[in-house]
Amino acid sequence: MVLPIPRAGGSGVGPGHGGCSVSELGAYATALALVACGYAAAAAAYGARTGAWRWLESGYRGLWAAAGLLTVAVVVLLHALVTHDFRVAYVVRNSSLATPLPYRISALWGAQAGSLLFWSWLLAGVGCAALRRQRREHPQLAAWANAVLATVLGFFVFLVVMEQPFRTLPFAPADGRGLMPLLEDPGMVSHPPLLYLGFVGLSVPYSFAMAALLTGKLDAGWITATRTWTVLSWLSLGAGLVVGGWWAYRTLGWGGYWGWDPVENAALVPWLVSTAYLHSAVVQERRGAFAAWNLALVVLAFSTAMLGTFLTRTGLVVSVHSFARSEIGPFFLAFVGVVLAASLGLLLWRWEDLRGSPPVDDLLSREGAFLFNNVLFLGFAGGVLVGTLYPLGVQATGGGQVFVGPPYFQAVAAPLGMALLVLMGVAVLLPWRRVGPRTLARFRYPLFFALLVAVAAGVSLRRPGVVAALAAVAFALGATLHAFHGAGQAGVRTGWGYLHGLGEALRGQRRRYGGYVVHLGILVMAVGIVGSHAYVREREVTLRPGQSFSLGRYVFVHRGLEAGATALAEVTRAQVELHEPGRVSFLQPVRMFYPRWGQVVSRPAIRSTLRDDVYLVLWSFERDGSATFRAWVNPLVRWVWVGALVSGLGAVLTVWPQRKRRPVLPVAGTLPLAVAGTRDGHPGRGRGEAAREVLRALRGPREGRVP
Amino acid sequence: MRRLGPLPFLHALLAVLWACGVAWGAPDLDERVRAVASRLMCPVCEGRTVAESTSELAAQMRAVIREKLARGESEEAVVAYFVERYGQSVLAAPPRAGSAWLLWLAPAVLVGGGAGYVVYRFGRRSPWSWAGDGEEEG
Repeated sequence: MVLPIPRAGGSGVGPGHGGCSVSELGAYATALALVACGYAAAAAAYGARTGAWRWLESGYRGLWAAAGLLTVAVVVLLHALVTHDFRVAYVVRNSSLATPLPYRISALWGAQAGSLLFWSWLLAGVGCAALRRQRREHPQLAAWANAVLATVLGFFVFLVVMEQPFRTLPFAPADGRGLMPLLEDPGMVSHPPLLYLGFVGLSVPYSFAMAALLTGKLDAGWITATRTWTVLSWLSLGAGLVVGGWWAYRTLGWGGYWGWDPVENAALVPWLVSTAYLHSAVVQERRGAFAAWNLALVVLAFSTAMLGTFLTRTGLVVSVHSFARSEIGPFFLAFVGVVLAASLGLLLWRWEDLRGSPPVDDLLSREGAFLFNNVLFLGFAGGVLVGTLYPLGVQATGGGQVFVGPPYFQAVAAPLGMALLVLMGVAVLLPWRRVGPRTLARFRYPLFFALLVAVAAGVSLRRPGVVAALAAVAFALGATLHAFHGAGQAGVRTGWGYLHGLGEALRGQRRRYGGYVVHLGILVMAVGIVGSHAYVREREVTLRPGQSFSLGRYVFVHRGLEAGATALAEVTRAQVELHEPGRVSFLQPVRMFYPRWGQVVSRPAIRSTLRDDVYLVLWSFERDGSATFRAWVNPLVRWVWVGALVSGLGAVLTVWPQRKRRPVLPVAGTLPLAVAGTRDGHPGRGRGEAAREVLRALRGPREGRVP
Repeated sequence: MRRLGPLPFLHALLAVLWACGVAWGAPDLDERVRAVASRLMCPVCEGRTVAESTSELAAQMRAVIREKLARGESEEAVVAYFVERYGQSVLAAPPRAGSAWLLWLAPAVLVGGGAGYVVYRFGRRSPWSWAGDGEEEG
């Protein structure tokens, strides 16, 4: 059944659409949110310039109001989706009566207009959360940051208004068209929100960086103020990328999880840039160096995130994600241009103040390693960006259609990834400032370990690239374990024991050791990526029931097909026996045909272990039960997911709120103090309050610590 | 320096060796088909290589690649055959020639330039100071 969907011209706000009051409410709320953003930006900027407290407060309230109004708009659209309000065009296009509830909710970000609304709402929420706290701790920075955030938010709300998510149809069809079948997947519920959150989160460090430039408070204050947000948005971007890969792997049926698709690249580039920034920010916080560089990096991270959104949202590049296209491209490009021009202008304006930051004493030091880290990550990001934009450039200069695909990106990623692995090991072993003989001695064991692995791998693998990659992993692993070992040894020295020392390091120096946990996860991922790229085996065969084929150490036996149906799809399920040494199991790859969309979805059957994944796709079939299969054996894919999980936990650890440990005092000593507090003539305060005050004094100020 | 216990290294070594044991030997026909297929774009689908594509045409192209490689043709010759039939746009990445060098050299120039700048800007101080180690804490 194909439903005629008239393209209603007018917006739902106008008269003549009586009875549509709820969606009108949404349209009004977005329009008012735009006004609120404009007001907030103007009031905050005016207040920040003149120091007028009332205007500053009013600016914040403007942003809160925008957030509230956007919440109303989101709730209205969600309500329409959940209750099947088919008068709203967006609901008709992106859901149907048969769409289950989770996917009716995820339809909110399933298409252009809704995802822009969702995006703006996230941005407003993140902005409010960041400012609520920072406006007390860094009032001057927060004031300008509010102005910048409100401007960025205003731009996105403007796009929402343009895209009209609340547009109504002149009549309400009986049923909607439904979400594209491929989008009905748990990945849809988590992948886009994670990526959006990552993109949106980067606007917090960006706005504070701009505030630092505008106020001239160019110390590391803006970095500490936004560190948690930076790490969380980095984590969110990374998690979004991994979930996207996992989703593609489970559903697209081509045996892989990363295809260097332009839209994947568009999210990878800001992730790479923010990884560079996370590292160099450590140097500024610790040594005061790289002030100008960090500002430039944040600008770069934010503008590549915006560029990424632009590429994703406008269908300018050919991609599997081309489900959301529209005419907002020119606005986006103009916006990215304005962001870049304004940011660079501000940087140049403050250039004289930024020049005096302390130098790096010696390249062979941790600062030096961080510098090379930045060079490699930015080179990586630049290479990916150039490859993604190159086809556009060729087209613009009349060169016809050109693809830049996996061969190019792998040529970029493999050497740079390997160099980053080596650097990861080197950086962990180097001390700050400069090296001495004691430091160099530390390289012994990791190097020896790398050599061992290289020899062992060289004997069994015969592939120089893989051997080098594994040796690099081994070196970095040895160096990282060396760092953990040092913490354990410290525990032994204090008499508490090895494990206690490790625990103390993870608890007390969360940033450092949390970072190392992230590194360990990346190393596990690296092994998985190398294994699953270098040693894939695949085969395509057509079998009649009862016939079999083998791939690697596995034998597949085709046992027949089963036909079935769901509400929307005709389902064909193949029964395949999988024989491996000492074990027999069943695989059931599925092929679904969705008549309403004319779309075929092949869901692979995957049997996953730490050693390898068996990945079987039902390709096509005949009436007599014979079927064409495509089978893969992908070694070590699971290591990618496990490593990503470890990395994510490490990242959470680095920003987990840290309580300053209570000094060890005799209990008897604290109580009388607390009691004395009450006796000292503070009539309005109870004993509890006084005790808390004492504790607070003992713990020292909660913020402004050097971690 | 304090001696490291051998245990953590041994465990890690075993893990990596085990990972190596998982992998197989030299490239066979399957792998060469895959290598050629991932250098070609599927002409009928959006942005997928022949290796990844799920289209009928890509399946046929993979069969042709297999047949030609089995007959002893070189990977380059097979790629050239498809370029002749479908034009340059069938390539998954532009050939390293002419203005495409702009693309292929971009990452090397970025990294090389960046590293060169870093060395030029910061590398001229006395590179070696045996006075002692720096700060340990991160």
